[in-house]
Amino acid sequence: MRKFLTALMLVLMLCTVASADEDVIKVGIFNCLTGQNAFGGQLELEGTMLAHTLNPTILGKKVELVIVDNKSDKVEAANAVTRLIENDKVNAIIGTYGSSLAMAGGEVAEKAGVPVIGTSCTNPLVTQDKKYYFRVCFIDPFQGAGAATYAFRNLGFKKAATLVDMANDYSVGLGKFFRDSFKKMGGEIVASLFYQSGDTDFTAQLTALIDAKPDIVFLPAYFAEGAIVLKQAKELGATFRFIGADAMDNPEIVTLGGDAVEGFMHTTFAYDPSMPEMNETAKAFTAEWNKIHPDKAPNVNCALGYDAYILLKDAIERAGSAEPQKIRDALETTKDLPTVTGMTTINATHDAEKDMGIVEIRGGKKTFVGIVVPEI
Amino acid sequence: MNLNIFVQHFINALSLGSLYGLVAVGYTMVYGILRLINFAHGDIFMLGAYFVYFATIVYKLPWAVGVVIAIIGTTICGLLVDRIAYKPLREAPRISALISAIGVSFFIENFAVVVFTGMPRPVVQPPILMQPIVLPGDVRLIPLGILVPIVAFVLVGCLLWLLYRTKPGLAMRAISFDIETTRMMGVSVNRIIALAFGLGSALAAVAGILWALRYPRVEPFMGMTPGIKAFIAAVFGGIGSVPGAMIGGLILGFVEIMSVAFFPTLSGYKDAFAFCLLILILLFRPTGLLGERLEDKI
Amino acid sequence: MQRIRNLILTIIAVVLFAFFLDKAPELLNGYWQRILNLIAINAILALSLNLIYGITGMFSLGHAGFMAIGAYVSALLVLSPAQKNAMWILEDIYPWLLNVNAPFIASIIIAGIVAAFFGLIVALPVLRLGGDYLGIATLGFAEIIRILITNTARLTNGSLGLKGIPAYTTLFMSWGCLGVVLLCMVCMLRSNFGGVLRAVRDDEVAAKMMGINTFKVKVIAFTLGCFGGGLGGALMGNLITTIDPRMFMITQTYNILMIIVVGGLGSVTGSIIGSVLVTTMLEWLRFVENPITIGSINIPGIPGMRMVIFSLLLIIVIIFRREGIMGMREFSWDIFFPKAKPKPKHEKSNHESVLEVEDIVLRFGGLSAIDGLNFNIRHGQIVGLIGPNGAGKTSAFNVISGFYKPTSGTIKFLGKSIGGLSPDEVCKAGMSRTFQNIRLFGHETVLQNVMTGARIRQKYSWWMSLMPFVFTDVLREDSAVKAQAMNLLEQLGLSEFAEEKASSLPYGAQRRLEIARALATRPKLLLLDEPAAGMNPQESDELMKFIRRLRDEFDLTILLIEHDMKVVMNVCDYIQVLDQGIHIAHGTPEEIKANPRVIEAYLGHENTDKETDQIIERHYAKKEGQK
Repeated sequence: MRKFLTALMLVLMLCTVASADEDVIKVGIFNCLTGQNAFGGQLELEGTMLAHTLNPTILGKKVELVIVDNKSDKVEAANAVTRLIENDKVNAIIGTYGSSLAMAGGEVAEKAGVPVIGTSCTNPLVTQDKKYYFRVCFIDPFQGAGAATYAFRNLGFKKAATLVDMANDYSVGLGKFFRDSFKKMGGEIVASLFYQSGDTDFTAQLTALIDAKPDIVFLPAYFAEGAIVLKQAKELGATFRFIGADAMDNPEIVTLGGDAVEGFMHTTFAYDPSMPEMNETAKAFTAEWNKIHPDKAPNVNCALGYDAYILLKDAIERAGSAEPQKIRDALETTKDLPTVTGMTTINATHDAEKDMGIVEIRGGKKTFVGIVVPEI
Repeated sequence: MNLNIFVQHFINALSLGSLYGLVAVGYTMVYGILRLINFAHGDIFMLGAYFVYFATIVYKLPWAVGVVIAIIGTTICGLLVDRIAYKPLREAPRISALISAIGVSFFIENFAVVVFTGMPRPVVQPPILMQPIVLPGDVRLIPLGILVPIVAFVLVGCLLWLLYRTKPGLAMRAISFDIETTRMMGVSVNRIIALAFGLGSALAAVAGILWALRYPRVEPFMGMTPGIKAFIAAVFGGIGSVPGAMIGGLILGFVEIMSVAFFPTLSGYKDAFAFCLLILILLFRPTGLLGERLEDKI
Repeated sequence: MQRIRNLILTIIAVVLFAFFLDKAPELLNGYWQRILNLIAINAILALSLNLIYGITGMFSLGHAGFMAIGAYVSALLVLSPAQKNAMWILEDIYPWLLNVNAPFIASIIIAGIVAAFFGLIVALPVLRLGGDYLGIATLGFAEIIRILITNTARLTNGSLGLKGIPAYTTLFMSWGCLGVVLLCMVCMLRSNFGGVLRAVRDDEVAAKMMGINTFKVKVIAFTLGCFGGGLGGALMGNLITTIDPRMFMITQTYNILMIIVVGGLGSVTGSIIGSVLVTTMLEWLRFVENPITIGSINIPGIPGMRMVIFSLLLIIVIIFRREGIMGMREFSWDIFFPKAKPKPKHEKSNHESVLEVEDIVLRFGGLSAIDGLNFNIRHGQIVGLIGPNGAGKTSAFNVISGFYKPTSGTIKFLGKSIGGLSPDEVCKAGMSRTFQNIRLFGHETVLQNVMTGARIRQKYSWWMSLMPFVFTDVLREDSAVKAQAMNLLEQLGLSEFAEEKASSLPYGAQRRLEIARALATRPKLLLLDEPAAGMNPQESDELMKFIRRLRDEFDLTILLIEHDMKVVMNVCDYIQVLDQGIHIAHGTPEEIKANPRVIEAYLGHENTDKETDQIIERHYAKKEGQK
């Protein structure tokens, strides 16, 4: 036993010795590959890896990905970023799904002065007061307003309700922004109900919603929970419609929810495999993805993982150097970069300004309905 | 809230409560006999659901076959867990077995992440169980909602019969009372404990299957919440009491649903209501609703 | 000498470590500094949970909740108003909260105090529960805390959590806090109060009979543990610099539990080793998730493998070292305290009547255990309480010593009514007892068992034991008590066993140790429950001498239950006889021997077991011998 442990430790020590190769650009990836958010993190990682396979060199230098799991846990997220910066000496970092994880990692990167590109951490707080954190996604207030605008203006609904995951910052934020926006436009919020992450039974909330008689219910849930909510709503005979947000954007929602998701709408980034008019980047991405994963359609998370790498590549090329500080400065001036999810411009708060799309499930298929311009 | 809505809430609560009860009954089998808080119960439950997923969706077997395979497979897993992680610790302090259980729980969850990935998977629901029956007043009831309590109550009945009318049941009760003396009575303790584990795992499988039917998705962490809820329900009812676990589960279900029904604006506090009630009950009945009062012998 | 040597060694070690910490920023990169910080924080958390669970024996699953309280209190105090203003984007922060501010050190202490306060509120109702019921109640409490934090967005910013907390947790800060916690805890555990904590874990009933208010002791330990939890949480928040309610789920408590069990439940050293091992192991194992190249073989990284391997290692460690790495042992520089031997002094009692029992009735439901018991014991008497099995003798003892409340009747001890007093209060009034089935604090040394009995005579409060170098009373009183305890052990012929574990003693010695422990409370009245049980005739002869000697040397009054008629008849001045709860006779040994009702009670009993048969045989053999 003791010999075994000694041997194990030796191996471990050897493995922690970082190699210092000058001609390599090291890109760290910290994402939730295990834990509660693993479903999102794994998809984003696949997207980033696809981008890396297609662009293995930048400025003629080989790009090496260093992948670290943050276990969907804050402490681990901070450790993971520290490890990437201190041990692996990465030039830049990509990650992560989940805003709270991004915040924990962001503090570390900020101090060390290493730029991070967030994939789908949509909370405004992530980049607030941060010089080194950027993201390829838009933020919650924008999206909450988008859903409200679509429900009120395009669909003409006057009475709305929200069903929000109280323990999830993303959900709480979107719910709040939806309500504010919907009321500002002149609509009425007839009920606002809550559940906790991990719940599987929503019948009580749904029955209360049926009692409140809204026209539409805003459901800023993760897709796995959202699909179950929709199923139970159908069982209970709910007649109102549901609208969700980008976390519902996953091909699995149809397999999970079956016919109960028919007619469900959600806001998302302006990319979907079903889009009629794709830009060149999106076309290339879709084609390559389908080659590698013939059994699985790409979703927004894959696209954002891909886009983060593209954004980084563009910044390094414009900076002409892989020095963290120069990458940061270049990232800040990104403008109209063609990415999978539309034209990306990094604004003053380091958020991506891009179009917002609406997807509806029609005939068991995700259908890209169009672009919506939120009234903020 | 009008009467129809109330009836709907009541039906929802009955369905959820009996599902909790069912998980708790399996939990209490092991708990009552070994006094081992089997933190891995929720994960064995998850394995049961995955077995069904693989049998019916991946290998396209008929439903009934899938259920049988799931029960057998999960039971084998449960027995393996007992053999590898708990049996060597039978004589050890209780906490060692408890930590071993936490280890097993971590292991199964992460093993599932590695093997099945973190992606939630769908489960096929037999349409016959899902077609809502519309009662007067637009109250809706799905057949599965009736099936769950029936299965739960039948299983509780069977377990009670086993525990109180059969030899192995007698041996189980004896072990829970005093393992050493039982061993000296010539009872093959390890076999009886294995039987209890097998039963507990089979019950976990049944609960996992019904859970996956009711909330049709499987994922590696699906057992966490039901595991904790089952622990609560088992303590509610009194540790080791099979009917107590069932009643505990029902109470838990009713508190969760009714707190939302009566105070919709406070629905964020739903779980807090359940825990407050639990602590209150324990303060007035320190060993749960049906738990034996243990006198400290002086 | 040794003590000074050990002190010097400790100081050298601390100075060296401080020097290392000072140089750490140059020696280690930020990653390993972070790991070092985490080790210290985990050690603080482990120590505090170990105090609750490992040392005092309360199964608590609520540590994450107290961490959450600490982390939030500290964060809200150190964040600047501007930061707070920017962060509460969903709901408005309470105006009063905006300008609340405190320096970091104050904030972590306040964090600990607030957590301790909540701990106290929880402890008061919940600590009446035992075992797993306590576990689930504390778990429930932690969940309630988390749900409250999630839902009170104006106070806590809800699920958004707090970010941008200044990274005040430096190496010196975290290890400094650990040092203080460790010092206080080691001091407390070495004092007699620490012995009391372990006594409560080993046998709560016996501890009560030693005059210890076990409930109070448990509340103190729990509250102190919660303080540690709050402190650890606060340091954690200031290290990670962002917190949210989901950080404090039950898995957080599992992690701490894992550390203390791997290290050794009840061992301070073990908690430290455990936190080093678990924290570094989790980080080291990251390599299994990266692609590995061994020779020409390329293994792709598998996410999740790390936890799979970690959990396997955890199971292996527990199976092969079930007591944890340290068990209950502690690291030490081999400390031996010098032995001093002052003579114990016994106060003279002037009360003629020591115990007056009047019309005691005890019913359980419809069942009468005792139905009208009356007797008096005068100072210096040895009184026997006899009767066939099930006569209600032990019940009578339990009523007198406060474990049962009599259904009716009065008990006066030294002229004062003690009916309704709890066992520890009865003990403080001057009564002590032994138990039919020996109840020692099995994991403790023989010496510590006796010292526990002396705790009621110590004047220092529990909190002084945290800082014995400030409150030197602690050291003085403890060494006095220790000397008295050694003396007692010598008098009872147990001094050779002083440093051995109580449970390892031979049977007869365990009986004597129980008596020694009871004597350490300086009782006026000693209740002995079947002291001769399991002794051979030679041993019981010695016992008779011993009991008389006890009475004379310690100025005692003794009430004893005994089945061995030889002992009863020879040693007792007066005898009370019970049968099926009814007080059937009393008198001198001669009178009792001749009392037909007593003989009938023993003979006429249908369930005469072997033991009773023997009693009767001996009884008649003796009578014949007298003829």
